[in-house]
Amino acid sequence: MDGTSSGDEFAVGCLLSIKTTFGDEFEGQIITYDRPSNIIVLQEGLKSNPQSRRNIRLLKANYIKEFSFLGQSEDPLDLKNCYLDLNSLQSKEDAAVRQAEIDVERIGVGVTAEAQSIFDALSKTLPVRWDKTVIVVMNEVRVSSPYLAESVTGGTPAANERVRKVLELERRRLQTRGGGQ
Amino acid sequence: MNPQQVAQSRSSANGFTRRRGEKEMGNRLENKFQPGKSNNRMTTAGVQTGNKGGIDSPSHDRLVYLTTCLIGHQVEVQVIDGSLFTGIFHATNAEKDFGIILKMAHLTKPGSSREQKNISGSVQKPPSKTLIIPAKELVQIVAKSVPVTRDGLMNDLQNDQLHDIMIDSSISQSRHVDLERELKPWVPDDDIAECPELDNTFDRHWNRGWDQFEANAALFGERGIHFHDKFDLDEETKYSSVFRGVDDSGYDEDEDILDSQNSQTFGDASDSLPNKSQLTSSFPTSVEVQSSRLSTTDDFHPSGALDGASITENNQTNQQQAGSNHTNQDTEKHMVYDQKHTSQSKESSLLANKESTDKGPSTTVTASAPTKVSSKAQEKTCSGEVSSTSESGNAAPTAASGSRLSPSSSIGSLTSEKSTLNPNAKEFRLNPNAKSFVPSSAPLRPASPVSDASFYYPANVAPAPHMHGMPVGIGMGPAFPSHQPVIYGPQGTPLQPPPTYFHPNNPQYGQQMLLGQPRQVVYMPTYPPVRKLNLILFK
Repeated sequence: MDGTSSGDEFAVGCLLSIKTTFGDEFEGQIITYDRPSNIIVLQEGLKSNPQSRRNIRLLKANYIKEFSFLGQSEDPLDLKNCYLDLNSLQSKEDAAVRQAEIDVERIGVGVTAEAQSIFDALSKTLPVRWDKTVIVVMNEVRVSSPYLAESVTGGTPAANERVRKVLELERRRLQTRGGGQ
Repeated sequence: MNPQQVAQSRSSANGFTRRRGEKEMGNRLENKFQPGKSNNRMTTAGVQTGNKGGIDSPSHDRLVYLTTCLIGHQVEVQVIDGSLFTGIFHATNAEKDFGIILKMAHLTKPGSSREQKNISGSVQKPPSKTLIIPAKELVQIVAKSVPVTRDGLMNDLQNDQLHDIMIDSSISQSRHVDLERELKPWVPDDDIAECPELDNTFDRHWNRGWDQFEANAALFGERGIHFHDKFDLDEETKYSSVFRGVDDSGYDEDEDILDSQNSQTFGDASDSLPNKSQLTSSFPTSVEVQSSRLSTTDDFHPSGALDGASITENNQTNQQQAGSNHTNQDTEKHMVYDQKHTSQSKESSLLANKESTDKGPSTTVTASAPTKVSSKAQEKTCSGEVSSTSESGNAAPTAASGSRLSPSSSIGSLTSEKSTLNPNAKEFRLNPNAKSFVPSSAPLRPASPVSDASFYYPANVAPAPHMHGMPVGIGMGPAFPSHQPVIYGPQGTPLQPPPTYFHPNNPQYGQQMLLGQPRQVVYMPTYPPVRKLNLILFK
C-alpha cells in the first residue's frame, strides 16, 4: 500500500485490523500517522477507554499487507493529559540499562542452551556467574563443559560436593522434563 | 509567520516541553528553527509550507511524543529481514527518517535472512550495547505497557524511584518484573525437588550421631524431662540450688516436705545421734529443740537472726551443756566466719560427719574443729538468707531455715522419689562434713553442701553442649568408684581438693553443673561433659 496516499484513510481513532507482510495480525486504534516517515502508530486493543499504560505499535505503513476498517472511535490520545518529563525518562533509561547489564551477566556467551539452563537452575540457590563458558559457583567451584558431575572442580570439599549434588539433581530434572516432552 | 513561532506555538499547543533531551531529537528540533540549513531542507520546507504532513504537523508531533514516551522502555523491533531485536529504546532521529537506536539489544528471533545456527545448542550472542537500526530496515516497533498520559508517566516515575532501591524482585527477576504485579503466595517450584541429602552435607562433623536421650537414659535412667506432679516443680526446681522465683504455694509444700524429711533424716534425736561424738551428743537435743522452735519461725531469717535465735533458744534451754557448747562454738564460729552463722550449722555439720566415710577432713573434725570444718565447708555468704545446703546437715536447726529446702536434706530423702531440692533453697553453704552420697546404700546424707557449692551456678551459664573442651563435667556415671574425684580447674590444672566430698554418683544432682567456677570443677574424663545439664537449662 502506498503510504503516501491521502491520510484520510488513517484518521486518528480508526479501529483497524491489520496484517503485515510478515504475517503478524493485530488490531488497534490509530493514534497517529506520520506521512513523512510513513509510520502509523497504533494502540493495541479496540477499547476506546484511555488507559495510562498501553501497548503501542509503530508500524511502517508500507509493510501493511492488508487491513480492514473496523470502526471509528474517538481520539485515544488526550491532548490535555500529555506530559513528558525528560529527566524521569532519562533516569528510567539508565535504570533499565543497569538492569540489563545485570541480566547480561547471567547469560553465557557461546554456551549451549543446556548449559544456560543448568546455570539458571544453579542460580536459584547458589551464587553463580559466568566466566566465558565456565560456571563459577560461589567464586570457588568451577563447572566447565560438559557440565557433568565430573566437571565440577575447585572449592572446598563441602562446597564441591554440594555443587555436584545440585548439578546432578538439575540434570536429572532436565532429563525428565525433556523426556516428558 | 516566523517558523520558529509556528513551531513554538505548535509545540506548546501540544503541551510539549520545549526541551528535548534526546540528542538527535534535540538537534533536529534546533535545526527546525534554522531555516535554510541544508541538512534540514525538508524540515524547512515543511515548516514554511505548513504542510500538514510535514514535520510540524500534529501527526508528527504525536509521533514524536509517543516515541519519546518509549525512551527507556523495553521494545521489540522487527527489521526488514524478519529478525526481532529486543532492547531498551534510546533514541530516534525523528526529524529525519526515523531510524532508531536501541541499547542492550539482543536478537530474540532470527529472521529468515539469518542462518539459524545450532538450533539445538544455539550459541547466544551477547547483547550489543548500542544497536542502530536504520529507518530503511525498520518495520515495526512494539512496546508494551507504555505510559502515555501524565498519570501513567508519574506512576512510572514513582515506580522507577522505588526501584532505584533495587529491591530483590528487580534484582532477581529483571525483565520479568511487573511493577504492579499482584503478589501471590510463594509455592516452591515443582522443579526444586526435595533434596534431603543436601541438608546433611555439612552436618557430618559435629553431629556424630550423638543421641542425648540415649545417653541420658544410660546415665541416669531417665529420658527427657520429668515433670513434677505439680507442674511447677520440675527438675530444675527440684535439683537446682538456685532459687528461682518464689512460689509460695509450692514453697509451703516443700516446707512441709522438708520438715518431714528432716525428721526422717535426723529422726528423733535419739535415733540418729547415738553415733555422734560426745561433743555433739548434746547437740542434737538442742538442735531438736531449736528446730522445733524455729520451725515455727518465718522462712527467711538472716543468719544473724537465726543465730541469735538459736543462741537464745539455747540459752533458754535447760541444757546447760548444750548452751555452753553453743556458746563455745559460737565464739569459735565467730572467729572463723565473718558472718554470723548459726551454731546449728556446726551441729549439723558435725552430725553429718558421723556418717561421712570418705571425707578425711570431716572425720577429724568431729570433736575438734567444727569451725574449721564449717569454714572449709561453707562458703561465706553474707546474704541474709539462711545458709542453704550446708545446712542439709542442719536439717533440724535449719528447719526454720529448713523451710528452705537444702539439697543435702533432699539428698537424705533421696530414696524417696520426690526430690526435695527446693527452688526456694537457701544459698548453699558448703559443708565439708557432709556425707557423700551413696545411692545404693542406706539413705545417707550425701555431700550436699559440696554439691551445692559445686553446682551453684549463675542463671546465665552458657549451655553445656558447647563445653566439650572444658574440663567441666557433671560426670554422673553408674558405678563411679567412690574415691575422691580429681578436681580440675577450668584450665585443667588440678585444684586443691576441696574439703568437701562430692560423690559423683548422685543422680539427683545430675543436672547440676559447675561452670566457670574457679574451684569445685569436677572433671570426669570418662563421660562426655555436661550432658545432663540439658535437663536443667533446657527444661
